[in-house]
Amino acid sequence: MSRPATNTATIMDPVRTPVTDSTAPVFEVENLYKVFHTDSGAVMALRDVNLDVRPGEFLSFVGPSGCGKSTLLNIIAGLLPASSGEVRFKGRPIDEPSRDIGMMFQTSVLFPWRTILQNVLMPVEIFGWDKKEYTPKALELLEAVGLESFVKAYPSQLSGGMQQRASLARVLLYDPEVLLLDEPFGALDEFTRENMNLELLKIWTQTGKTVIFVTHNINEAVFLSDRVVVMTPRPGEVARVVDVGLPRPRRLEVMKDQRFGELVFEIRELLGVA
Amino acid sequence: MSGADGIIREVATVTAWPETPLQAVTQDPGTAKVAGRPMDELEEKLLVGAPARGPRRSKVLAISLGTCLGLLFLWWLLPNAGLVNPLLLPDPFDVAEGFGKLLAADVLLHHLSVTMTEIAYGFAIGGTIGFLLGTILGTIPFVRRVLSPYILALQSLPKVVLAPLIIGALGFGIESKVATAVAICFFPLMINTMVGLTLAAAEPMKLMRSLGASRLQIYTKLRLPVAAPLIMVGFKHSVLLAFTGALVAEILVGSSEGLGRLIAIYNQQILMDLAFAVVVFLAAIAVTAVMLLDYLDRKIIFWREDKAGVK
Repeated sequence: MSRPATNTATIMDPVRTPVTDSTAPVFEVENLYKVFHTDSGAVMALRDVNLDVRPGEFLSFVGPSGCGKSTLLNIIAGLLPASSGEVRFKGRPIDEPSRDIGMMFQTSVLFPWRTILQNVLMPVEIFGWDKKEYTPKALELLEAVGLESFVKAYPSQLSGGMQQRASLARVLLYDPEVLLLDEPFGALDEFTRENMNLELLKIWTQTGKTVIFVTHNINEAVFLSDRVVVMTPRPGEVARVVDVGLPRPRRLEVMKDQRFGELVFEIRELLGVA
Repeated sequence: MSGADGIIREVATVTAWPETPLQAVTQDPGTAKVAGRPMDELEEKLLVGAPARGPRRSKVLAISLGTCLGLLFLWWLLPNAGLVNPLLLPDPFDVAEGFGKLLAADVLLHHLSVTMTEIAYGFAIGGTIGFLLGTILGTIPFVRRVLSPYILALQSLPKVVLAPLIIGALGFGIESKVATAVAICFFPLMINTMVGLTLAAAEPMKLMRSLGASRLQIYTKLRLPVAAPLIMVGFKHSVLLAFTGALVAEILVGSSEGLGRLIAIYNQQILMDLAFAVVVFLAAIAVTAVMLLDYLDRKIIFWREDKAGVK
């Protein structure tokens, strides 16, 4: 495998206006290694990963199952310590989770004993903020994701897609600068997933948040991202960072574009599945 | 919150979400519609007035009641057909008569209050110990690993054998009964609390940690509610074992009070109708307790039918 394409350039994507004044990277990943010690011996999950994440960009991690992309995301989130190397968030080494970083997972992680509104307000509750003050905002967000008539419903009464929308409202309520999304729509059917992707793009455009999106769906990664980080099988390394450069705003028709097909094929080749 | 305001305005104006939850068809045949148009004959036949599946409630109730009457008849038959000595097994009518005698002599209430007091103390102490130990074991993996062989040993021990030792140490008063109840009843609540507290899945734990939740917040907002269904099961078992503990101690001890003692005395005097009447009375109380606990269970853990847990 080729050496990771360490991209220290912080030139903004020309198709989008920078949303932050600063062009300094949001995350800097430097010579990152992660080793897990299991009963059957030590396993190297990540090997010498180098990566800069630019402010306001939509970045995807693509790779085969077990390539360590979720591990990388968890280290970036401050949930896992690195074995060697460093991750800096806005210039500071990250060693614990931050309220400026919001996460979404493959499952919606809604608590069945809480109503949808109570679930959305949970982060506010944990931060010790005033729930009353945030309730109107939570209701607006639920309306924005089409759940206004399910505010008092329990999660089991909602479909999978609706549950993920509630989960999206939950992370948007406390307005973190960065969204780390770990295959958030991976458990949904194709149509719901496409719909959620379009909404995610809309939200990203509106808010200018930095998004890191983990997926094993190449089409999805190309459709959504400014750049796609292609990872090798274990031990996970960065095979290449692919600049997408397709015009925005993107609609589903972009998939008919010749350039779209070329990018997808390029990534397939890098992953060895062409 | 500036960013979120933007999304709200933007998203609200654009998409009508295509997904709608499953809705029942209007039950009035005249206006019923499928996919926005009136139903045809077959659709109407299939959708409207279709019977709910499964046996009716009344049928279940009838079979359940029939089983009860059948068992009572069998009970009546055994002594009356000469299969069992009626002196050892009085028939249901004799027992009912015995129950009447006990009520007339006004002995039940006093002994009931003695026994219930023992059970209440026993469960309050045993349940608290069980819950606290279970919480420690469930939340501190190191302690759990160190103590797990001892827990296994304790689990294997039929704890009834402790009763004579406890009585030997504490004498014939209420203390020995309460202590026996404690020794027998703390275990299910402890083990169920311990196991329940370890059940929170990886992603909910990650979510809580990503929000910077404290250990206490993770405990109260995630681990404890996840454990609640199992804890309730342990709670029920513990209550019933507190009954067992208190009654075993009463029967073993030469004291003069309590329903267990009453059964033992009537048994020795071969007043089997009275002994059985007390047993039936105890059974009725235990069944009532279980039903009450089941009701509480359904009220407190209303999300139990959601088998997938945290999603």
